Order: sequence, then C-alpha cells, then structure tokens
Amino acid sequence: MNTNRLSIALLTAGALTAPLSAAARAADLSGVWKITTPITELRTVDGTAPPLQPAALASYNAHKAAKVRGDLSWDTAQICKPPGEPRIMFESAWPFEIVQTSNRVEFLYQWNRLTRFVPIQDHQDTFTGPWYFGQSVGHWEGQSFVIDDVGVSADTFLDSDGLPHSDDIHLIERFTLQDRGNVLQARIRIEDPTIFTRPWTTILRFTRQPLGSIVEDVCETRLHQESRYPVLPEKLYPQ
Amino acid sequence: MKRPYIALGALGLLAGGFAAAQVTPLTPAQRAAIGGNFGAIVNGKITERQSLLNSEAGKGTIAGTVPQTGAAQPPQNPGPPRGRPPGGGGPPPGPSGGITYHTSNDPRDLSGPWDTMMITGTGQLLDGVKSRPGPQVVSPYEATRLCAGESALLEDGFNILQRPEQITILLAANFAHARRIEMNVPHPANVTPSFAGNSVGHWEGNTLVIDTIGIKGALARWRDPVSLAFTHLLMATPTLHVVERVRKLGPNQLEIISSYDDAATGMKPYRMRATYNFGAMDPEIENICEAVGDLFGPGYVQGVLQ
Repeated sequence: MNTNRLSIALLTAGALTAPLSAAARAADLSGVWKITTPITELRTVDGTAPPLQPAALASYNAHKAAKVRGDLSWDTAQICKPPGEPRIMFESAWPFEIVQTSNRVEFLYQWNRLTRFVPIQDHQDTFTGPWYFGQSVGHWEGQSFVIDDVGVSADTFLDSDGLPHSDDIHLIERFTLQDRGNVLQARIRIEDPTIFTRPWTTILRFTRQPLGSIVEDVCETRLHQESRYPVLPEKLYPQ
Repeated sequence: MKRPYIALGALGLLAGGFAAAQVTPLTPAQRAAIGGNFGAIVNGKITERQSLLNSEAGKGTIAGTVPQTGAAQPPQNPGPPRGRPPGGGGPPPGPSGGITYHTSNDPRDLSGPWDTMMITGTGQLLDGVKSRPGPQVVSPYEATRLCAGESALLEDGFNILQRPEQITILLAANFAHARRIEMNVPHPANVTPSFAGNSVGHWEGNTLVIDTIGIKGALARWRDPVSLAFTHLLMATPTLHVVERVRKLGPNQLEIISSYDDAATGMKPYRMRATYNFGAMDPEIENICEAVGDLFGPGYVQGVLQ
C-alpha cells in the first residue's frame, strides 16, 4: 500500500541515489525553530481550505465548533498523546529542535519532550505502522531535505483545529533553509484519498531560535498545573 | 494506544527480578480507590507507586511501572517496531533495520547506540558508598504519575548524536527522551529545575566532561547485572551537582564515571562507574509514555489526569 506508493514516488523522482556523503555537503538544518506566524489551522498554498471529502469536512467542522465552545474532548493531545504531524511543529507556537548528522535527522519537540527519528536512506523500510509520527525516511534533493512519511496514526490530527486524516496518509515534507539560514520552510504535500478529494500542499515557515531555548515540558505536569483536566469521550476508552 | 515496546521488552526481561512478590496491576476501580494514583497489588495489598518504588517488589521495575503478570491490557494494534527488538541481543535488523552504525577508532567520536548495561554492562559504586538517598524535590503529583517525568542520566541504553556545538543523548528508557549537552559554554545564571537538568560539556583530552545541575526527581538507579534489581537510588536535591566523565575504552566500549556532590546538604562526592558496549541496542523505537500507561488499563492516563 503506502510502501509501494512511496517506492514508486522515489523511483520516479530519481530520489536519493547520492551516497550519504552528499548529506555532509547538504544544508545544515540543525538548530531550534519556531513557527514564524502562529497558526491553528492548515491552509493550502493558495490560501484556501483543504479539499476535504464531505464526511471529513463534517468532522473537521464539528471539531472547530466544539473548540469554540471550549470542548476539546475530540483531541487526544489533551490526554498527552502525540498531537501528530505536521501539527506538533506549530502547536502552541512552541519551538522544536533539529539535530542533523550524516545518517539521520532528529526532531526534538518541546511538546512533551517528544522525538521523531528520520533515517537518511533511499528506501522505505517494511511498513510496520501506523505510528504516532508515521514511518519516515529522508533524503537530500539539492539543498532540500525531503521526508517521506507514511502510516501516521489516525489518532492524531494535522492541525490544532482537528483536521482529520486516515492511517493511509502519505506526507512528503520538503525542508529548505531560506533568508541566509534564519528561516526554515516546510513545503508539505498531503495525500489521503480517504479524507481529501485530491492531494494538496501547504507551506509552513519557522524562524531560527537560540540554541538551548527549548524548555522541558512534561504534559501531565503541565495539565496538572493548569488544572485543566480533560473530559474524554467514551469512545476513546470503551470499558 | 501504540507500541510500548521498550517497556514491554524490559518488563519481560526484568520479570525474574522480583519473582518473590505477586504483583498485579490495579483495576480502574482500585485505582480510583487510591485517588487515581498509579499503583499495583503486591501480595494482595494495594500499593501506591511511590511505596512500590521503595519496596522489594518494586525493585527492577521501569520508571516505577509494574511488571505485568497476565492481567495487562495488550496494545490494540502493536505491530513490530523499527529496528531491532528492545532489550538487545535480538536478531539483526531485517528489511526494517533502520540505520546501520559503525564503530569509530576516533576516541572523540562517541556517536552511535550504546548498549544498556542491563544486558551486558557492568555498574559499580566506587569509594565504598552503598546508597545515599536525599530529599525528594518533585511534587507529590509528579512522584505518583507514570508519565510525569523521570530523571535519567546515562542509565540504560542511549544513542549519541554528536555535533561540535552540542551533544544530544537520546535515552532508551525512562521517557526522558533526550539530554542536550551544550559544549564549551557556562551554565545559565538561573536554572529552573527539570528532570533532564542543565548540562554543559567540554573535552579534557579524549574525555568528555558533562557538568549537570538543576536536576529534580530520582536518578542514578543502577541495576544489578545479575538480578536486574535496582541496587542504588539517589534522589536529586536542588543543589546536586553531577559530573560525568565519558571516554571510549576502545572502538566498542564506553566508560562513564559519574560523580555526585551536594555542598548544601553535606553530601561528599562519590562516584559510580559503568561501561557500555557499542551498538547492541538500537533504541530508535517510537516510545510514547502515555501509550505505555494504557497498559495499566484502558483510560490509565485519563484516570491519573482526573
């Protein structure tokens, strides 16, 4: 399924035929990054709403309406489960760190100290998901680092307003430095025919922050200190 | 709920370490009876987490969790993890093997996965010190919550990402996830206590010296390599000062000598030594504490938050 689709995509793109040494000559994405303009919902590159299927649109609208009422019971991040990709990169406008080495790119999020592992390799491993962060592999295309991510758990959301997706989602994230390395752009193509009428693309921009500016966040402690206890839907935990 | 492999594997490996006690997880009703705190039934008696940690039955458990004896809720859709199975010593990576790591003869190249001493390493207290518990600085809430945080220095397996300006250590256990050691800089003037603490590093010859302050919670739980039970428990204080001296003994072996002192409490410096083997464990597995928590019953995290 997703693995086959990814393999075809990689082959047709002629992606990652370069040896790992190319990564050493590639851009260095390492550093701490924070969303330049805080957002809660994703838009397409044209500024329009994502092309949702009718049922998914109804779900998204229901999430947004509930959020306006202060009801976040639909959101598993309220019980400290991972928020999902790409949401976690802009959730609460908190920073994240990228640590890049010759064979891997590691995302270290402030949000509950979560990490995302992206090996630099030319093939997708045997699919074992879904996972909260999906199953990711990355490669360099010139100065852009391209991540193919399949099998992101449908328990997560694409944005903070509850944009849904299925386990069959396929994300292609293209990270590129801009503005002399002070801005990181993520151009993200989202394919999920179960949820969307067509593939679509969104762009996020992040501003470089000082190294060491990430503070320790422990989700359970945070919720406890905020006295913000969630009201959970029964469907999450059937007894 | 997804894939708590490290904990599952470790729990399985540790199962022999407390065979004398009958430990079973609590039902939701029993958890509610003790105010939602995490706990277990030990020899027929409901025991809260902190008591469990301090008990014989609790020794050898991961991050205060309770070994499962058949009553645990299985993951809904576990599936295999990437890379090697947790616990080390498993089969080599197959088609889903992830990164292949290579040893380096460079004494200053510490990068790569280092094996948990729980499997092959050795740990010993130096200077004749047996135990030195201090006051606990975490809140009662934090002390009783599985996912509320856990201090972790270089205790179990870890993977080192090395860059000139910062060394990042990804931890395989305790859900502390990552330690950041900023190189060749002083500590900030004001450090807010955290589970990871604030670490800075520098090289002395071929030894990486990591200086850490501002730690809260329990740390330095050393496991006996035979019984796998914890042999030592040190509670951090606000003034605890930890220095870890990390050096390679060869391409495949790492030595860490950790020293602990606390001038405010009069604690004399004492040291612990451990060695780690290269690459026997790849900790690159999605490891979500809150998902592991669900093993203690549907709605575990819900229960502790309410």
